[in-house]
Amino acid sequence: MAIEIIINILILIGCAFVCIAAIGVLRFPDFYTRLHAATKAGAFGGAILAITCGIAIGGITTWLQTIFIIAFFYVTTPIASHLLGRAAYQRKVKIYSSDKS
Amino acid sequence: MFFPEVIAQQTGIIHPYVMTACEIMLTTAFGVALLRIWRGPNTVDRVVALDLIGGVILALTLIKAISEDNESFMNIGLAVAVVAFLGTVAIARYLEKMIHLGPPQAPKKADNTRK
Repeated sequence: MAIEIIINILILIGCAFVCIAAIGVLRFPDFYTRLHAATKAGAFGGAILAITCGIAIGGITTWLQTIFIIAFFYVTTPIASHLLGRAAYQRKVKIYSSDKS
Repeated sequence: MFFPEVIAQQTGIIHPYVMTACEIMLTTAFGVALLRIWRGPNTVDRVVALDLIGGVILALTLIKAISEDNESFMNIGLAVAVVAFLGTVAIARYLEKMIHLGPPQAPKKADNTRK
């Protein structure tokens, strides 16, 4: 019974992180800050949900899948965001500055 | 459609209210990413929103795996994450190359006469 409550809470936390990442992509003023929100927060929400999946189902196959998802997501997300930021910088995408001059 | 008894038949280990809240949150995340695709003043903004949509699909498949108590659903999310990563890398390299080459031009008409 306690395990089910913990699983439900972890599912809510994981989905909340993905939703917060989406709100960040909507409301941030610049491309580079949106890149931060989408890759970091979204990857973390996915990792939390993968760990919850490993706890709920159990078994060695499930934990192998969990390790694959986490390792792959955390290795490839920085590569993709680095290449995208480099392409945006060379195309002279504007950097946001907070002073209103 | 939204009665807790109907939802409880499909959720398994998850509480029906938790399932409803998670579906509402992930659907708003999807809609917000679509709004960024519509509005984003650049191509790179749209690419970021597409990567976020890939993460939302991963979350949806993981929730489906928990509710059905079957670990085969996690493979779908992994495949979607791989494809999203490859697409982002391809578009980023194409955008970087297009600065030096310029926009694509129509090919010149081939001259078929013998010289």
